Amino acid sequence: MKRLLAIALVVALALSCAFANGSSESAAKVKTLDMFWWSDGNEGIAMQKLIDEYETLHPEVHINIIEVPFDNIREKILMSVAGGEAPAITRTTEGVSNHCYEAFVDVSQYTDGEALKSQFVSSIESYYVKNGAIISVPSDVTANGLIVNKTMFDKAGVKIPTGPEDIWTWEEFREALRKVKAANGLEYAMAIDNASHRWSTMLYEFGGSFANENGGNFSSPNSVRAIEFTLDMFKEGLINPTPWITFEDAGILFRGGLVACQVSGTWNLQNYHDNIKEFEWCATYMPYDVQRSSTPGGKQLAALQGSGVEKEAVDFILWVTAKEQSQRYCEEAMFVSPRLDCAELNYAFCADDFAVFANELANTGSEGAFDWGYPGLSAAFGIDITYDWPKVINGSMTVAELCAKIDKDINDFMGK
Amino acid sequence: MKVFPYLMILPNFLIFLLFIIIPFFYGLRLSFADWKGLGSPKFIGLANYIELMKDASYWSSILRTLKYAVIYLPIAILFPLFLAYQLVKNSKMKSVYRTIFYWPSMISYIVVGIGFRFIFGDTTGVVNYFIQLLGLPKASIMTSSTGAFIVLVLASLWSGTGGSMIIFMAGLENIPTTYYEAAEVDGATPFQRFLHITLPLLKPTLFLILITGIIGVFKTYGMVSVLTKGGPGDATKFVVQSIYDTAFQRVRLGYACAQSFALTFILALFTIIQFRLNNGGAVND
Repeated sequence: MKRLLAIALVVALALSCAFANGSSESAAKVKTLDMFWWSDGNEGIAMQKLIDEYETLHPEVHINIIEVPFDNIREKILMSVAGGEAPAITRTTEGVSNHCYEAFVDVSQYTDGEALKSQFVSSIESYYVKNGAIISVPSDVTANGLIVNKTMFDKAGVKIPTGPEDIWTWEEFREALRKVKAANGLEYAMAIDNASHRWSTMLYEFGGSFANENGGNFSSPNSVRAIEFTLDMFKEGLINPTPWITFEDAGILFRGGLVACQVSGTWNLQNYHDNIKEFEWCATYMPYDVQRSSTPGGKQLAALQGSGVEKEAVDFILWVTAKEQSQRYCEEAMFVSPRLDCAELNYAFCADDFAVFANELANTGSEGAFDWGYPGLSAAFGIDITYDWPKVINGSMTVAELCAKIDKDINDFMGK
Repeated sequence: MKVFPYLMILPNFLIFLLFIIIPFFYGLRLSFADWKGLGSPKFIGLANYIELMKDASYWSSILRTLKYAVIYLPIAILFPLFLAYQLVKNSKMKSVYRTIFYWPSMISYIVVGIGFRFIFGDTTGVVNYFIQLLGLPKASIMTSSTGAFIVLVLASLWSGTGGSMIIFMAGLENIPTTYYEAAEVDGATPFQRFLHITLPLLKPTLFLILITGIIGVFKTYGMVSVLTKGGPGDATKFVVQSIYDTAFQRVRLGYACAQSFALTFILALFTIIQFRLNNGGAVND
């Protein structure tokens, strides 16, 4: 009996080895490209449709999406590269790329770099070109801007700008918020997503910036004016401090009708379209001071070095970011396309809101591109601005101390 | 030579070697390097440790963690001990109450953090909703440093009490009842029995809870990252979050390793002091 059992086991083992060998041979014909991905909305579905199409066109390639939470994407890339398990492709942002770009493939090794760059809006070039190398290809762009509760503004009798010619100044907007707050019995009139990227739009509109080519610029008169104006709005109870102090979701405050407007961005439009039924809302133009501005952002796709399938990864990235695919992806996922030849997209809804954001981007200077595109810079000041702005609001840190600290961070980093 | 016992511990030893010993020495090596997570580490000698000595924000986070330990640990030891003492005496409902008190310990720290945030959030929290229903002014809970700190202590207590209580119950049930019977015959009051029988015989358990408690407090990260994210300002930013920020927000992995080793050294120091003071947790004769 024991002998029979032993023979049966040996036969089973031999058969399994044979099948394993067979399947590995067939698997060897198909190259699997792992792709790190996260979704803010339905863009994962839109991307999967394009992947399915690509796999039909290229049966020798299989793209395997690995979902990674956005908050962990940077460390996931760093750790996988350090562990010799780099994926073939990753979705990335300028903030992530600033730290990981040395692990990314220079796409210009596989295609004409200048021709590729000429296809995209120039304001985001610093986000995907690092030290002359094209380390990723833009898949969509985002813009910061203002989303307002139209019902509340109407109730207060405050007219919302309908075109670039009647945009509020920040002083006019502050007065408008006072009226909206009073008319609707609100505790706070406005929420700003966060103290770094989203607030930087205000900073640029006042003519300030975190940095420039000379180093820290946060103590400049215009930057200080932006900080003090923001602080006054907090003190007056016009801006809700909880998103900055306790990291409460500003989107929840807006959706719940707890504030009348939110400084946020394009990525919220679909969410608000699907979920806000209790009031009317729309995107409108950000107020201005010395100039208009948005803060461009966006997502890119990067191929990673050492995956063994670099060429296949770049081929896919170039295909999926080409005109036809970019148009379909951005229309379905409700994004602004970074491609110059996809400026006019047919969105199923919110077309007017997208037009507002597109106009904001068209009126944006270069300050944001420097702050958020300079390799590694945003990490130098990002954490401190996030944790120190609340101290300024609470009064445990002065504006001068905040400015000095941020400038020191930046100057240390830039070696100035 | 007896090989069998060594073979039995081999799997655990290999896991320990792979996930503790090797990373420990790898991290030690990195603590002498400047490394951004990519490429080869650049060795810079003791520069990270010299910078660490002067790093006010790191030492502030250590002090905040110590403050948290001093406030939280006594409650986190005495409250479960009280519960365990009551439950051991109550044999009828013991299982029911043990389950009720232990239940929160099975819930992930992340979920607990989200739950307490939902309860105590300033704008969208349940507590403030009811306060406003009563016509009272809204309370600044999570936006105040003290409020956020208290909520964190409450959440940690709610989540951690059950585990310590079970260990205390095991310790209490191991104390022979004959001691209590003899003391009762001699006319000892309940407090005297607790003081002279329970506490001395519970010393190894207390010692275990204290050591794991201190290490646990210094490792606090998961719940804080969800509940307060270290805020308001950096009022609840403890040392592990500070190290995490250095590693993955500022992307200075070599310096973060040096910070980790400083923390290891501090924890080892605490443990040695406690061992000395408590005679290794041995019961006094």
